[in-house]
Parts: sequence; C-alpha cells; structure tokens
Amino acid sequence: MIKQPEPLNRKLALFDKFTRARVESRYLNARYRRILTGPGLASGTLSHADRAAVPALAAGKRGRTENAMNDHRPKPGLASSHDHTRNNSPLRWAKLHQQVDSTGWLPGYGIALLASLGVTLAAMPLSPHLDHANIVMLFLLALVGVAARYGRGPAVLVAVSNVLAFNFVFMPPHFAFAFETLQSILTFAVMLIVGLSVGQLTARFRHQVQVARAREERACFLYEMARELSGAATAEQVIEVSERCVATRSHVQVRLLLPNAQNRLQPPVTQPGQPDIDLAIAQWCFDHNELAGLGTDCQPDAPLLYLPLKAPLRTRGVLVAALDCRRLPLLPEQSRLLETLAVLIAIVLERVHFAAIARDTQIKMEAERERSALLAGLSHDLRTPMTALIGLTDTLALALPAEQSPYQDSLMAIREQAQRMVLLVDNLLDMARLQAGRAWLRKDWQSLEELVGAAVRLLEQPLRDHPLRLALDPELPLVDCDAILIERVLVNLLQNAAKHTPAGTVIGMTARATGDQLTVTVWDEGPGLPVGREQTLFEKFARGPVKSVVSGVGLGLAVCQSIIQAHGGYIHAANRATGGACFTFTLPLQTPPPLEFSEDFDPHPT
Amino acid sequence: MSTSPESFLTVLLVEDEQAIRCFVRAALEGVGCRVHEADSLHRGLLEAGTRQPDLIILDLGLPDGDGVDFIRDLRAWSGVPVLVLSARIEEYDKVEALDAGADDYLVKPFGVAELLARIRALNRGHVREPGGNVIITFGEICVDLEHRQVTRNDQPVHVTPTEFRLLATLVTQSGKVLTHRQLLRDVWGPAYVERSHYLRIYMGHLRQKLEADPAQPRYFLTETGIGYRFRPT
Repeated sequence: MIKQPEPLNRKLALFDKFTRARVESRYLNARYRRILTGPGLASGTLSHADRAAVPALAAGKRGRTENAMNDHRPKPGLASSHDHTRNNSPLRWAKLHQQVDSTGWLPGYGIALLASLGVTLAAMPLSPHLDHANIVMLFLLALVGVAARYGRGPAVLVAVSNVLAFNFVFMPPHFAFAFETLQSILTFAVMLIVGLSVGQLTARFRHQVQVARAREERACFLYEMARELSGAATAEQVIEVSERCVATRSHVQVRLLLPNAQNRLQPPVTQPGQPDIDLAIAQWCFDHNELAGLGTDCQPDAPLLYLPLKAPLRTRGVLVAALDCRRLPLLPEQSRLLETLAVLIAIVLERVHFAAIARDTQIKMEAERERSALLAGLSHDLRTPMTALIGLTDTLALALPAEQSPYQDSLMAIREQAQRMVLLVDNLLDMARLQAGRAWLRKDWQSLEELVGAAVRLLEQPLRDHPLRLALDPELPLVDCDAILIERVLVNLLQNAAKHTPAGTVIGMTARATGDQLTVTVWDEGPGLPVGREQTLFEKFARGPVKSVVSGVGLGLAVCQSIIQAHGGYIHAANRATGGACFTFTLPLQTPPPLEFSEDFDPHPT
Repeated sequence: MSTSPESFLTVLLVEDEQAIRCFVRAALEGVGCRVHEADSLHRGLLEAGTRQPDLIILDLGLPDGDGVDFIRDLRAWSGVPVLVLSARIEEYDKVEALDAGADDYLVKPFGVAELLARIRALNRGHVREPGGNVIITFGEICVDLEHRQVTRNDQPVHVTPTEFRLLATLVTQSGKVLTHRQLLRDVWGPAYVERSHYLRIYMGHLRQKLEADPAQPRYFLTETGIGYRFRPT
C-alpha cells in the first residue's frame, strides 16, 4: 500500500496545481483569520450541540472517521452531511466556521424577526398603560437576548426591525411610518445605535468565550495526550497510544513513522481502509526536518500532512496526519496544535529512546560482569590443577637425578605437555575475553621497546636455539595500547616463529613509526607460509602446513588478530622474498601527552 | 643445599589448594625452610601473628575473602615480605596487592625453580635494609647513593636528578616489584600517579645509559601491566 515516489513528469504536471493551491490557501487563510477574530455567534451553538452529541454518537464514530479518511476529495453535496454528528474535537475549528458561513445564519435571523414581532404583539395591549420609553426598554431586552444567543448579524436585524415596529405601531400616527418629526428621528437613531452597540458587545463577548473554550479544549486534549503518553515504555506503545488518542479525541487520524538504525523510515503496517502513506514524502520530511504534504510548501497536493517529530537532540520520526480535504486550509490554531502534538510525541520518543539505551547498557554491564566472573572462575579452576601438575613434576625432577631414575625423560615430557596446556588455556581464555568486545581494553601510553623486552624475556626458553635480531628504531614514540595484550601478540608471533622454524635459524623483529602508525614486523628464515593461505592462518584453529609435524591449535594468530583489530590496527602475513615468513601488524599512533615536569627543577638538590 | 641463603627461613603458606600446598612445602623444605600452612585468609592472619614468619606466600584467589585486605591488615603491624600467587586473569588484583604492600608476585602456574628464585631475591632484599648500603654495584655499574654519582666501567655516567631518583628508588628495593603507581609517587610525587608515560620515558633514558641492549634489559626489567623490577645479576 506504500506509494513509491511519483515520477518526475507527474510532479511537473502538479506544479501548476501547487501554485494555484498556494494562492488559494493564502486567500482562504486570510478569510479564516478574519472569521476567527470577528464575532461568530452561531458557532457557539454548534459547539454546544457537538458537545451534547458526543456520548450518543460515540458508537457510530469509527465508521464515519474511516469514511472520511478514505474520502480525500471534496464531494459536492455531501460536504456537511455529518458535520453535526462529529464528536467533540479541538481540531474542528475550520468545520465550525464553515458551518456558520453556509447554513448557520437562517435560524438566527428567523428568530430575530420573531423576537421583534413577539415584543410588538406583547407590548400592544400594554401601550395605553406604558410610557413610550418603557416600551423601548422591552425592545432593547429582545435585542440583547438575540445578540447574546445568535451574534452580530441577527442583532442588527432585530435592531432595525425593532425600530420599524416601534415607529409603525407605537409612534403617532399609529400603524403608519412617520419619520418627519424630530422626535421620531431621534428615537429611530438612538434605538439603532444602541441595538448595534449591544449586538457588537455581546457578540464579542460570545466570541471570546468561544475562543477560551477552544483553548481549554486544546489544553485538555494535550494534557490527556501527555498523561497517556507518560505511561508508554516502548516506541511501539508510543505509536499505539498516540494513534489511538488522536483518533478517539478528533476526526483527524494520525500515523507515526519511526526510522530504523540507518535513518530510513519504516513503512507502517497498513490496514485496509487507511490512507496510503507516501514514504518518499515522509522521508523528505524526516531528512529536512520540515513540514511536508498537504497544503505545505513541499508537495501541497499530497492527500496527507507530514510533520517531523522534532525532539531536542534530533528528529525522532514523522507524524502523518490525515485531514479532511474539504476543511482545508488549516487554521493557525489547528496547525499549532498539530505541531505541539508532534513535539509532545517527539519528546516522549526521545525519553523512550534513552530509557531503552539505559536499559541496554545495564544489561550489557551485567552480562559483562557475569562474563568476567565466569572467566575469572574458569581461569582459576583451570590453573590450579596445572600449577599443581607443573609444581609436582618439578619436585619429582629435583629428586629423580639423585636416584639415577630412568623416568627422567618421561618426566620432562610431562612438564612440557603441561606447559603447552597452559598456553592453550591462556589462548582460549584470551579469545573468550576478546569476543566480549573492546570495552575491556586497558589502554595506556606504552613503550614498544619495553614490551618487546618483556616478551623476549618470557620466551627465554623457546628462543634459546634461535639467534634473535632486533631492529627497533631508537626514537619510537609511545603508543596508546593495552600493554598485556600487545605483549601477548609479540609473544605469540615470536613463539610461532620459534616453533615453525628449524633450530639455529635467525628470528628478527623490526619496528618503525611511519606517519600516524607504528609498524612491527616479526620475520624468520624458516620454510615460509603455504602460498595463498596467508590470511586463513588468522582463522580460529587454522594451522600451517596441513600435515605439519608441529602441533598446536591455531588459536594464537586468531588471538593476535582480535587484539590488533580491537586496537584499530591490522595484521597480515606474507612470505619474504629471501625465504621465510613475516608477520606485520600496525598500531595507530596518537600524540602522547606532554611532559610538564621540568628536569631543571630538583626538589632535593645535592 | 643447607648453605643456601633461604635456609632456616620460616615461611607461612596461605593457599586453599591442597596439591599446591603439597609441592610448595616439598620445594621449600628441600632447601631447608620451615613451612607453616593456612588454608584461609582468616587462619593465615592468625598464623602470621603467632608464627612470626620471615616470608608469607599468599594466594590471591582464596574463597573466604580478598587477599588485598589481608595484605593491608598485615601491613598495619608487620613488614614481613609477601609473595603473591595469582592466576593471570587477575592482573589488576595483582597490581592492587602490590600497591597495598605485597613485595612480589608469581603467576600460576609456576615452576619450583622460579619460586625459589623469587624467595631468594626477596630474602636478600629484605635483609639489606634500605640506606644501609650507600654504594650499590651490579655488573659494571656502580651507584653511589650518598654522592649521587653513577659510574659505568669506572667512567662517570651523567644522569639527571629525576633519573637518579628513579634509579635510587629501584636499586634500594632490589628484587621487589615496584608498581607504576609506587614509582610515580616516590619519584615525581603523589600528583603524578596517573601519568605513567613519564615512567616509560625516564625508564627508557635509564636503560639507554645503563643497559648494554635497552631492548633486552638485564637489570631493569619490565613487569608488563604492573611495574618494574631491579634485578642485580
């Protein structure tokens, strides 16, 4: 049901219509503004009628609303068929004023004439007993009554007809118009002026009451919306509550469109009978943060109005309002109300958004804590038996030579296997930690030279058969990294080199800073890497040559890759032109903090 | 073996794992130490008070409490050297334990040779009181603490005042692991404890001046993620 963006030619064809529509809308706006500010007595009556009709008509409301939503184009002759049966709505101003304009004047003027006639007939039998001045009072009374009830127009009519009736019936000569005498002219003028003034004043008063009532209704509506929305805990609930609230309180139907993570609006589930939403216009409205659609500067010919949901931090979505085309253009109050509604919903969406973030963060933290606890426990549980195993082998190894035992070699083999097991456990635990994300990185300013020194010292035994050639630039800058993890990378790479190359071959390491990165290479003079499989080595459980005699689960390189990637660098493997393999990794370099401590200052001079 | 310097030491071993206690005891008794065992922190504190050990070996992963609290309690009334045992994943517990006053640490799993080497180093460092010796010699380096002079192969080496303070702090606590925090506090002052890049740069300078190969130091060793250790060889 979602319409695709209209083709260009259609848009061009519409352009002419847009221009016309804008001119019309400017004219109509001016007209409605005048209506709103001037007295409109009849609309008050309608307002009451509407209010009274709500409970009785509530059951039938849905069908009518849907009908109105389907029916975007004006249909002559049907325009006012259900105007009187609308439910109580703050969005109904345009409708009220149209009512006043088209059909509302008749009863008011009829009653005005009846009032005049009634007072005349009532005063006739009393005229011998009453002074003329008192009879005029009765006419004024009727005038005030009509003015208060029906506004300015009927009040004028009553004023004129009163003057005529008074002159005709009560002024001598009776039952004839006589405007010759000064007295009759004065009476005529005073009655007319008083009639018009009273009519004007009461009509203005009525209008103000009406405006105040409309404001109260709007405030009430917003208040109820706010209250309903305050209970919403998810974006779906916000959509549900706002669509339902607006639908039950007004004849405007709204839909909310929310963006996905890529800032694309998601098409809503459209039920039959609901208007088609043009997703392209909605997206434009969302991207530009401006009103679009019906009666606006962008696509004024579209059947629906699109309002951006502007929250303090960003636009949270689009509010699509289905208004009745017959009641266009919107009054300033109406559009302001819609905009306020949009802001209200936007703020609630923002609150929901941050509540969700807070909840997610809490869940992540809990998960992280549990994972850490689990890993610490696992580490402890795995290491304790290993410690005992290695320690007890050592104890035996110290005792066996004295006894000239033939099992010394076996004992050494046990110890070596145990050491390998420890390495495997280390790699597995590291891998598990690395899978958790980068939150655990403990970065600090480190000297690569130091890390290399520490790694080489840890590998004293495995590297004893290999001459080591270190070529580190003497002026290497400090690098912001997790020392333990980078040491682990160096240890794994050196250990790999020692494991996969024949004894006596050289293992080397070079490090240099180029621009904004530190490049470290570990190379060897061994058999090299299988051609074409250089990168697959970094996959978990990958090993070098397929049936290699050298054992070892290929977790070491996968761990290296995870660590380097978490630091924002990259690692790759290659064969050297002169034979052997080389592994290169990079780490991003930043400017280290300055040294503020002055060497010249010495708090303890000699 | 009975002539080794660790002979006749009284060692308190606080460790909950029977198998580890077993081999540590065997190793220590093999070199002539007297070993007392405790399987919980609570018991350990009692033993430390009654047995007056020369050295405490403490496992950080005990079920009945935090080893760091144990060290803080102990340090309130005793300066006995403490060697901490820990699993690698508890790196930062180790730093905390060292900051609280532990002297050295061993990562599980460890071998007997490693354990004995650490005990030897700690015992030696402990016997020589700081300030007792004003001239410290290691390899071809000679540090005169009183006159603030450093010589290498009898040639004077120029060190800046800060470098000298760092050097003096390290060499007077030979064998002991000094955490980044402790070094920054002692050399630069309490306001500098978070600025570990100072330490990296000045350690680099010291190694340039005093080590044959700064990338493979012999004396000023890096304990990655923890601190530094001076090891006279």
